[in-house]
Amino acid sequence: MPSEQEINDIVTRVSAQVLREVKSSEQVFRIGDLSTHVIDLGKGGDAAWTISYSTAAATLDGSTRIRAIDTVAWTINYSTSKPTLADRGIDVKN
Amino acid sequence: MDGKIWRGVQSLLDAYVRIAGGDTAVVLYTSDSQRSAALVCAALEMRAIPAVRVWMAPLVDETFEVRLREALPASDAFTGRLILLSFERDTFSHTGALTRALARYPGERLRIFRSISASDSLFADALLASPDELSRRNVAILERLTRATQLRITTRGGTDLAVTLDPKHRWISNRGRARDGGTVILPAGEVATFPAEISGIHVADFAYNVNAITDDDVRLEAFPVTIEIEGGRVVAHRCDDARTMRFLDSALTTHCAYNVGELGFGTNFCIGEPIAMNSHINERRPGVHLGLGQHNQDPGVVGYQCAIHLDLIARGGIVEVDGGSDVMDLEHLVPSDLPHPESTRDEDVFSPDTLQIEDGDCCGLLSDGVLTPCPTPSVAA
Repeated sequence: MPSEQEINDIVTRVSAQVLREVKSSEQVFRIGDLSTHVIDLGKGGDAAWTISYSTAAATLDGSTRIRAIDTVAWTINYSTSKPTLADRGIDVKN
Repeated sequence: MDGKIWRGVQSLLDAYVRIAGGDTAVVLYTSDSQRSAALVCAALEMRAIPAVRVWMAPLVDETFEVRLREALPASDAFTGRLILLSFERDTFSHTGALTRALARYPGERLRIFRSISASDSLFADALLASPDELSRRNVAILERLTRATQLRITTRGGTDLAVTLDPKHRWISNRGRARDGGTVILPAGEVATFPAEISGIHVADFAYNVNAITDDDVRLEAFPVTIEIEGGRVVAHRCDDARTMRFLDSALTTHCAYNVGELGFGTNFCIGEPIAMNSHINERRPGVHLGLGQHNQDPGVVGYQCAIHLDLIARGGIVEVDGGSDVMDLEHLVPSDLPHPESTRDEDVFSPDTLQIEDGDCCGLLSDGVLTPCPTPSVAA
């Protein structure tokens, strides 16, 4: 059974190794800020798969009650270049 | 080193992984989870378990699969099991790449543990509950609710829900175990299904969890969120915190996020108080939570797919089954020794690259009370 000091020493050493790995990896991938990364993903889009929703549109009235302004519950369209999606079958619920 | 955190690391290796001599480990981690990876690697080193680390960029990393394949040992290079442990805080990435790269290992020699919400609390709280203990609590709920049709659910905070269940909707049981070759999602401790019908009032007085990246404090103790539900849809919502209210205004009028897509019951009794971080840890706490937006069923069963999943979590809950003939107190569950049902699904978090938009996907950003979903989920090549 390692002592508390031994545990702390090993954790400190391994943590330093991991930190070095992170820094070197992030320099290569230029991903240091996940939020920025996600924004970039959104800008870039993905031509292979797009989804458009035409769902029951809703709005808020003055008392924060949600009011549907569209009688059609769901229409979902998938557009993809991947043949694997063609067989998935997405139901439309009315 | 905080003693509870270190005990959680040991619990992961002993109770969840059941690590043994001859095993070899691969530890995957994103930058935000470097501390979790370091703690586990240190513990593996102390046990003389061979381990390699692979850093990964979250969500999109075009060379990850190549680097992973290079790091994976040949199956004849070790006598035990290949243990794959991944740690991410906000995301759940590269499932497709993992599936392909690990396909050459037989299921009985492969164990996969994927952690979302990697943090000190993951170890100090959630992982202190063993899979055996969680399984017995999940069974205690499943043995009653999989046969039930009508529920009334109330909480001290004011929740009062009438629920109808339909056996066509599958139950998910996250208990820290998986079938051979399957994936264990951590933190564990939850059973959930889709409510065929639900109406009433739900008061989330514990926390929320949204599948977006945010630094917002998600605790709701001071300012609970109240939603009114009619016919399975949220028709009104209230919160005295302006920032949370702004977020709800935007989320609940977007796409299909006002649908109740999940009825969930946390069973992790080692989670007591909410943490500020947007995480799956809070929803594992014993209590009832409703997931708005994306449901937890297979595509086509429910009839919609939604980019948003927002869990509204209440502290505790009383479940009256089929007219009150059976009553469960979620905070004082009596564990069951009956065998766990085999019909449930193990995983309750899915990656964008598996083409299922579900709980746990990172779908966007929540900043200053405004939710900005990513318009097009990414798909791995």
